[in-house]
Amino acid sequence: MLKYTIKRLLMAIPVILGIVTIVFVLMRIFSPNPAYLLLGQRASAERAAALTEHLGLNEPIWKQYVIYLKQMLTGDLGTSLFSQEPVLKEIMGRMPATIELALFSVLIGAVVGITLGVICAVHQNSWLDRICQVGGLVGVSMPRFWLGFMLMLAFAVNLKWLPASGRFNFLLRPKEITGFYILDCIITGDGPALVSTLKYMLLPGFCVAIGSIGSIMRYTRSTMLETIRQDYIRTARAKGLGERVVIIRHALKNALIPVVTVIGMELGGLFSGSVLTETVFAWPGVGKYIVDGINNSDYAVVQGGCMLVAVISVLMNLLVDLLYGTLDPRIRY
Amino acid sequence: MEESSKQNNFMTQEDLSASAPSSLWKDAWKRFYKNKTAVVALVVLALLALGAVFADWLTPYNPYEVVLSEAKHGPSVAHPLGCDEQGRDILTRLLFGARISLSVGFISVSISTLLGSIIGIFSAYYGGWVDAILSRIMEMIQSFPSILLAIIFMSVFGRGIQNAIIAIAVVSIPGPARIIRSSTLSAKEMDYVTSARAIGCTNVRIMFKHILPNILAPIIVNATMSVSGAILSLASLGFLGLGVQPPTAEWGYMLSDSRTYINSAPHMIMFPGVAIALTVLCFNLLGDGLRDALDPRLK
Amino acid sequence: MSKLLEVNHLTTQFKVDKNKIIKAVDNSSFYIDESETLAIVGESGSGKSVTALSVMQLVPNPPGRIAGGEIMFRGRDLLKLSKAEMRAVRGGQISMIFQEPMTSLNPVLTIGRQLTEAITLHMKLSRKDAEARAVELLRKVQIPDAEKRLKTYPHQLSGGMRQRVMICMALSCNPKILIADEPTTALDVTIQAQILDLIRTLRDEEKMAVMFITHDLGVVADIAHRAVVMYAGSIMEMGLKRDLFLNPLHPYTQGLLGAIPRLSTPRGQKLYTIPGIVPDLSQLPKGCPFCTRCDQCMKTCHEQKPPLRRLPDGREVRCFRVEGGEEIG
Repeated sequence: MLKYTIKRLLMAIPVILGIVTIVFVLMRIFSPNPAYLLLGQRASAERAAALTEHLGLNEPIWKQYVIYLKQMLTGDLGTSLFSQEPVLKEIMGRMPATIELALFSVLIGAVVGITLGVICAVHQNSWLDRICQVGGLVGVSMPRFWLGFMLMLAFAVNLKWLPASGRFNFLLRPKEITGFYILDCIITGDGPALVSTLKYMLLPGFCVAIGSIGSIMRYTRSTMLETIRQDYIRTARAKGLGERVVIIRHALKNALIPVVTVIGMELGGLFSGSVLTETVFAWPGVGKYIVDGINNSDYAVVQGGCMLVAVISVLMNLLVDLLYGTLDPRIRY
Repeated sequence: MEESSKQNNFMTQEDLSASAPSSLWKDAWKRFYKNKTAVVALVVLALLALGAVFADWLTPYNPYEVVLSEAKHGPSVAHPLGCDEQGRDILTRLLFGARISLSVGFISVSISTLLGSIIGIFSAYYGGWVDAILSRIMEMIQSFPSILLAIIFMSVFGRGIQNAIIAIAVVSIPGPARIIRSSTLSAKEMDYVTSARAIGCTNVRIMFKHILPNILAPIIVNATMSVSGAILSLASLGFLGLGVQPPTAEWGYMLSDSRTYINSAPHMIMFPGVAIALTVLCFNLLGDGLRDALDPRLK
Repeated sequence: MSKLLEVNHLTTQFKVDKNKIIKAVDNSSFYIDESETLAIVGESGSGKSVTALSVMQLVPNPPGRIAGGEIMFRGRDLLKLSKAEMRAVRGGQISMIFQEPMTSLNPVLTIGRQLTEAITLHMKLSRKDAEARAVELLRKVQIPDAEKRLKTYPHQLSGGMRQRVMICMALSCNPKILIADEPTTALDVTIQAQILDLIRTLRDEEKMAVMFITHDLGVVADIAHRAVVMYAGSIMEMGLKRDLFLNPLHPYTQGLLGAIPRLSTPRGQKLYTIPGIVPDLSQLPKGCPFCTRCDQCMKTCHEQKPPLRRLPDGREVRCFRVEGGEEIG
């Protein structure tokens, strides 16, 4: 297991290097004047000169690349033009909010998506199956940010059941320990804050989850349909097992193995999609940070944020791959 | 012996006439026509395209004319979908927005499909280091979440419709490239390629005259599905303020612009989203239908 | 000896196209006595496997459907049982092993789990007792290190071992009838012999009846008491193994036997083969299904389907060339 994990981790290195390189190519080679791009057009000549020196912009390209890689490796993603803070530090402060929301939505997406997928496969071509198929396709086709507004309109503006945006209520603010508010509330045993935090999470969580439900459901249905035609399912029926046992114990476990990959891809997608959903719900995470960077023309923030989120979504995929290995007994380490 | 070979010849000729290329497409059309949802999707898209092309004649309003007296008015007979915060007719703006969305979708997908096809077919046909380099580059682009890559791209090159097209095209090259690489790899092993080589066809000719027509089905299906992705990407960029320049009527930008009025004029934010979702859904349904019609094995 | 299982006029249909239905099993009747081994012989597509699946009611539905007939088991018609009652029969009193040991075991569950679930279900044993029984059974089918095997997964076993596990699973609840659907076809020749031996030994020890589906007449000679010959969904001939082998009455049976290579065949003589191929079930000839390949075919054979006749000695034949006895369908 350890060997396999290390092997997979090593395989992620070229991918991450690729991401970093693409950013380098775009920001340094294609950009007419990287120093002014990062500092804004009205920056003073001395500051531009200092940054040019720091980034090695007068050196040949290959040397710039080496300097750049060194800086990335040491976590030097530059300084935010807007706050004058190191970008890495700011991102790390916002990361828990993004991760918490992504995990929450993928959990909803997986539970609901798998359940519906199994029901649809077992009752193939029933009216329920048809509705779910159409619903799933509609869910995948809707822009998530628009869906966010519609949910907000329904549940926050009209029904007033849930808060429209933000991450916490000022009166019930969880004490920050890990930055993951749900975890923090549980650690401190703060019941009211936990309920309030969960309420804030429901709308953005479901908004993101609806798309995931669609794709996880469609995929579960198709692997499940394939699985229930296998010989070992016939064996299970020949033993006289009840239909529920056949489906849950014998079919679902097999069908779920490939679904895990899709869940991993969804999770990766949720991180990159955070730029949209966090903007809609004013969720103080990395996605909103990037968009604020766009609006302030703060390109160090945009570059660093996008790159880091891309790397994290690669790592999430990796994590799910490792989980895949533990689920399937046929994979040996 | 001689007689049996004669009979064989006779058989093949009959087979050939039975499956002439035209009837292949006719069969596909028949299968497509049977798929009611796909046909409906095609009709809706056709209507939308017509609406976009003839928008100037279809509506009495100008999409950019500010009529403050009608600002934020809800749907009415005069304005079926209402007016926005500057009193511009939303339906008119949506029709003009369809122009942008559809053309950006088509142009960027054409670019990415063309480049992706060329890259895919070259890397599969030549193999070796050509394949290694091209495939690594494709993997690099693919591992980068496309919306983030597009954001960086737009922030370096600046907003505007041309840059949006290029950004969306670049991030979606790996899709067709990968599909075409794998279909070419299998097509390469087919006998018709060997025989083309035997009669002395050049590599380029073999690639584009013999292999390409045989892997057209997955390319078309992928391209159709990609249009929906491109339209969503454009809307997302517009929403983030990185798409086309305001005040151009563009769906994503309209959506983003009207979010401030979600309490007072919810219709403003509702309809652009419906337009996006409907278009994307139709392209997805169309893609599904085409896949089933063109290559029943893919199902 | 009373009849343990009696299948009467069984018809199983498959819907192959929108308005096209084929009869994979057409009006077939046969029976199995207590502790008797009945072989069902035929080429692929003859309906022998569908017959077995019909008895278990495991015909995939849709597209398959048991369209008529009755399956009497210990005085009850299995086709009239509720789903729950049928589940108690399946695996408990009638159990089945399949052709493909490689794919018939669930890849993600341990052998122990797959063995014990039927035992806990039908014999109402606790998990622990069920495991003890599983070990005992694994020893019985001659699997070494039985305790350790419980924790292994199917992919860690060879094909022969997996088929032993399948047999073990089928026997776990002391069934009255074991249906074996070509259990040796996918195995190596030496393993085949071992598995056949095993089935024979267990059958005698447990006093089980066996319904053995095969296309291999050598296997029939080895294991069966009696055999039914099927062709294109219909029973062509039925009789004791001895009678069938020494004096085949139906041209099809004769053809099958003629196609077996024998030591007594003179050197250089070409091996006999039945001309043609099994007809498509959706395009059966109007008369006798075998008439397109029969070397003794007459005019009437093309016009009407010959009835199945029971001869005075109890044999059954479907052929116009055989006379006497009574028509039974």
